[in-house]
Amino acid sequence: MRNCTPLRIIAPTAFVFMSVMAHAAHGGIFNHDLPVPDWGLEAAKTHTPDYARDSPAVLLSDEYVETIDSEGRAVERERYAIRILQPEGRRQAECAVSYDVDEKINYFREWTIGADEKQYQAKDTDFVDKGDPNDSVMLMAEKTRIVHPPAADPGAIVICETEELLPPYEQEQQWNFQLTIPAVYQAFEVDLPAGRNYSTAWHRHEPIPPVQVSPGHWRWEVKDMKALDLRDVKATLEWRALAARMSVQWGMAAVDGADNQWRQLGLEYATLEAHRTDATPEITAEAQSLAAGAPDFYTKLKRVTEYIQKNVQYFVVERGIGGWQPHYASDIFRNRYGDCKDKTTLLISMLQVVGIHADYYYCVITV
Amino acid sequence: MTDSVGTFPAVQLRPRRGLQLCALLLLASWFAPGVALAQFQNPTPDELKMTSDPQAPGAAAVYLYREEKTDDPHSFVTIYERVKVLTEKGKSLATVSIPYEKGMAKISRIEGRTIHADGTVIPLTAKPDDLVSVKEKGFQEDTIVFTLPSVEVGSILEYRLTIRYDDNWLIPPTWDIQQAYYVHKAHYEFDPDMVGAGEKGRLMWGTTPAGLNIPVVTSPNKLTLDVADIPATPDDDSMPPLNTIRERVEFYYTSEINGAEYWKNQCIFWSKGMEGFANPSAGLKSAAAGMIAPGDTDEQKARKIYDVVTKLENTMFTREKSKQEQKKEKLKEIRKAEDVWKDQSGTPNQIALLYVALARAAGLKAWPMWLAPRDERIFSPLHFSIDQLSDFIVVLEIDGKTIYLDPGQKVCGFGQLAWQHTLTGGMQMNEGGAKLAVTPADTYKNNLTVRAAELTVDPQGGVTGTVHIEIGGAEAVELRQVAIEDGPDELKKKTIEAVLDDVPDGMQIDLDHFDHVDDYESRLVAEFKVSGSLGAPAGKYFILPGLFFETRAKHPFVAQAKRTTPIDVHFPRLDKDMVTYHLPDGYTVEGTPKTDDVNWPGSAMLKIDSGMQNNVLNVTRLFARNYTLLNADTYPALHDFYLKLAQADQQQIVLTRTAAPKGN
Repeated sequence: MRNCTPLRIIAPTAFVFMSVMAHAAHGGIFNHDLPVPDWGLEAAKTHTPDYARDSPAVLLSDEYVETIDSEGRAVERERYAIRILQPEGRRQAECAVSYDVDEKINYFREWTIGADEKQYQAKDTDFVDKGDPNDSVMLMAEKTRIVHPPAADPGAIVICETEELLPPYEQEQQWNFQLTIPAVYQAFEVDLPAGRNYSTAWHRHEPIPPVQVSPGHWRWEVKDMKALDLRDVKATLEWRALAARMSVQWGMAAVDGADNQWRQLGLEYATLEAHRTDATPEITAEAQSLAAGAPDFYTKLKRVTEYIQKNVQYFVVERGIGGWQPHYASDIFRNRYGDCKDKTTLLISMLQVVGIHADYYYCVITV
Repeated sequence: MTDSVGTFPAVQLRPRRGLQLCALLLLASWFAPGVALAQFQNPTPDELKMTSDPQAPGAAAVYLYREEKTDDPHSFVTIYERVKVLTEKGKSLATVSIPYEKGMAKISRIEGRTIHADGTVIPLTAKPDDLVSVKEKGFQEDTIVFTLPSVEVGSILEYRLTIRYDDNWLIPPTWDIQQAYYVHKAHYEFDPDMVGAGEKGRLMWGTTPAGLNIPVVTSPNKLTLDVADIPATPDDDSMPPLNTIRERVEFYYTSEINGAEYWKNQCIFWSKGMEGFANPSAGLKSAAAGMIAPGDTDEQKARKIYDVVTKLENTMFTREKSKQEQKKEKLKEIRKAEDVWKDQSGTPNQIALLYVALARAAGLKAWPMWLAPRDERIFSPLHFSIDQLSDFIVVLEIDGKTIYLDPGQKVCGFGQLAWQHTLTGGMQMNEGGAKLAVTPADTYKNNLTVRAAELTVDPQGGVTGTVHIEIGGAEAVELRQVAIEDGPDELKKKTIEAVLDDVPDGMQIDLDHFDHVDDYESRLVAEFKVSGSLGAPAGKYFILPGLFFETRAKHPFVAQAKRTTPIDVHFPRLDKDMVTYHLPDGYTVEGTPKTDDVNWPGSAMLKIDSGMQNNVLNVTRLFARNYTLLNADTYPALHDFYLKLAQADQQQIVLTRTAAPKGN
C-alpha cells in the first residue's frame, strides 16, 4: 500500500486559535463534571488480593449488562475499575471501546481516584479515536476510542463506564473473564424482552449457573480469576485459545445443545450468503472458458481454483456487516480483490457454473 | 552529510502576483483543479507487454510516470501516477492511501483505472473510503483509501487526484524523487505563493543527499523538475534515517537572505529564551547549595547535581500531567527551570534545562545544546529550519575540559550521551551567545559488553553451567529504559532473547538475577543458569561450537557485496567473550578456535584465542568496532572485514576420544 506524503502545514496562529475555539464548545458524549459514581467508589474499596500483588494492575470489578430489545438488538453497558500497581500497569488502565459503522457509543466516561485520593474525571482532551487505515491487506472501518486517564499512577484506581448500541446483526456476545491481569470480581448480565431465550457455551471453565435478577434478566458472576500468563510457557497454544470465556446467544442460536447452536448459526450465516454466489454472464463465460475441454472433475476444479488464486487479490474490505457477509460474486469478479469469504464466494459461483457443487466452510484459524 | 540549497527570490514574483489575483477572479472556474485535469495517457505497446524491467531487475513494480503539481496560490496539489505491476507483490500497489488533516484539506476528483496487459481497461468505480486515523479534540487525521480494480501481474495502474487545502495555509511541497520502486520518468511543478509568504518572504529549497545535483528549473512564476531513471529507495541494514539519504527536494518559505544570517538570528533568539528559562534563581541557588558541600570540586558538584536531577520524575517514562491535574495540584505551567524543580517533575528537555540552571546556581559553566536526534534526522545547517532540532543536552566546562551530559535520558551515566545524541548537530549556547555545533562521537571503550560462560560438558553432549553478562554504554541505556517503561519482566524477556538468539540451538537459559539495574554508573549485570545439549559424540569425534556466544549470531554486511548508502551502526562497541568448557574425561582436543588478528586498521578488529589445561578449555573472543558513521565508499573494507569475522566465528572445537567414557 502506498502512502502519499501527508500535508505539512504552516498554519497562521489565528487559524489554529479559531479551530480550537470551535471545538471547545463541543460537549459531545463525554458528560463532564460528574462525580465518581457510587459503584465506582464501592469498587475502589476492594483490597488488592495477595495473588495480584506482583501484577502490573488488578481488575477490581467489571460488570457487563446486555439489554436486548424486541428485535434482538443489544445495548451494552460496561462498568469497571482497575487499580494500577506498577508503572507499566498504566497501559492496562487505558479504557477503550471499539466501534464500527453500525454501532454507536452512547457514552464513555472515566474517573480516576488518584493515589492521593484526589478525584478526576477525564475531559474531551483525554479521549482519542484511532483507526487503522494503513494495513496493506485490510480496509477496516472499525475505530477504537481510547481514554488516557488523568492521574494514572501506581496506586490510582481508574474507573470507566461505557454504553454502546451494538450492531443489529450481532446477537451474541463473548464474556472474556480471564485476562492478562488478575480480576477480583466480574459479572455479566443479559436482560431479555419477553419471549426471547438465551443459550450459553463455556470454554476452559465449568459452566456457572446464573442468578435470575428479574423475569428475563440473568446474571453470572466470577470471583478471583487469576491472570493467564503464558510468557514463560514454551510451545503453547495461542493465548485466546486458553483463556476462559463464556459466550451468550440471544438470536437464532439461542437453543439448547451445542449441535443445535451450531446448526442455527449455520442457518443464520446462510441468510448472509444468500444470492452472493449468483453467477453473472461474465462469470459464467469465464468459468466455462476455464472448464472447456477439461477431461475430468479434478481438472475443472484445478483450473477454477487456480484462476481464483492467481487473479483475485487478497484484500479485506471490512465495514460493519462486511466483516461477516461476503460481497456479491459479480463485484468480486469485477474488482478482482476480496477476503477469504469473497474469494470463496467467487470460487463457489464459478464452480457452480461448471457443474461442481461447493459450500462455504467457515472456520477460525487463530484459536 | 549536508544538503545543497537553492533560493527563489520573491522580488521576481511579486509584480506577477498582482496580475494573477485579477485573473483569478475571472477565471476561477478554469483554475478549478478538476477541470484542469488532463486525460489519462494511453499505454504504449512496450508498456503493455513488459513483464520485467532490465533497469530494475526483480522489482515488484515500477513507476512508468509520476507527477506532482503544487499550486500554492490556489491551494491545491494534483498527483498523477502510472505504475506497472511486475509480480504478485506489486499488486499491493493497487491500494492507495492518502493521509490528510480533516478540516484543513480535502481530497477530491479521484480517478483511476487498471489496464490489463491485453489493453483491457477497467475503470475505478468503487467509492473511495475516508477512514479515521486519529481523532482527538481539535485534530483529526483521516486517510482516503481506494483500491484500483482487477489488478493482475502485468497490469498498469493509473490514478490521479487533487488535494485542496485551506487558503489560510502555505504548503511548500517536498518532492520525494526517490520512491519505493524504480521511477522511469517524473515531473514536478511548484507555483509558490510569494504574496502569502509576506513582504520579506523568500522561497528556498534544500536537496538531499549531499552532493547530488537535482536540477530544479526556475521560471518567473514556477519551479519545475523533470527526472528520469530514478532507482528505488535503498533498504539496506544500518542505514541513517531514510529522509536524510533519499533523493528529494524540500521547499520552505523564509524571510532570511542566507544561511549565515538565518542561524545567527536563530542563535540570538534561542539563547535569549534559554537564558530566561535556565536562570539560576535564588530558589535554585538554595536548592543547589543543598546538594553540594563547600569543599567539593567542580566535578563533584556537577555529579551530585546530576544524581539529583536524574532521579526526578521524567515524564518520558511516566506521563505528562493533564491541565486538570496541574490545576488540582496547584501546579503552575512550566515557564522556567525553577517551576520544574518545584514540581520535581519534567519532560526530558525541561530536566536538561533544570540541570543547566542548577549547575549555574552552583557556580559551574553549563550551557544547553538543542540538537537533532540522529535516529530521526541528520542536522543540516543548509536547511534553514529549527524544526530539525528537538532534544536538549547539557554542555559543561570544567577545568578547560568539555563534558557532555544527557540528564533528560534518565539512565545515562555522568558524561554519557544517548547514542541518538552523539555525532549530531544543533545550536549550542556558550559564553558569547550561541553557535552551531556538533556533538562528539562515542568511543568503543564506553560500550563494553562482557559475556562469560562456565560450562560443564558431559560425555553425551549435555551441558550445564552459568552465563554472566555485563552490559555497559548505549546498550545498557536502552535496556534500563525498557525496565523503567515496560517493567522488569520486559527487561528479563529482552535480555534472555538477546542471549538465546546467539547461543547454540537446544540451550535453555534461565535468568538467575540482575545487578545494578538502577546504578547507571555501573554496567548492567545479568546472571543466568544454562542447560541443554551441545550435540552428541559421533564415533570417536565430539564437535562443540567454538564460539558459544556467536554460534547463531547474524553478522551484518556479509550477504551484501555492494552498497551505495552510508552506514550508521548507532554507536561503536567492544565485546569481550570468555567461555570455559569443562570437558568430559577421555577426550583430547584436536582443534580449537584461534584466529590471528582479523584487523581493519583503525576501524575494527577481532581476536580469538583458546587454551587447554586439564580438561578445561578456555576460549576468548575480543571484538571491537571503532566507527559509528561510514560513507558508502568504505563498504568494501567493511564487507571484507565481516566476511572474515563470520568465518572466524564459525570455528568449532573438535574433541577426539582417547578412552571409553566413564560409565559406558
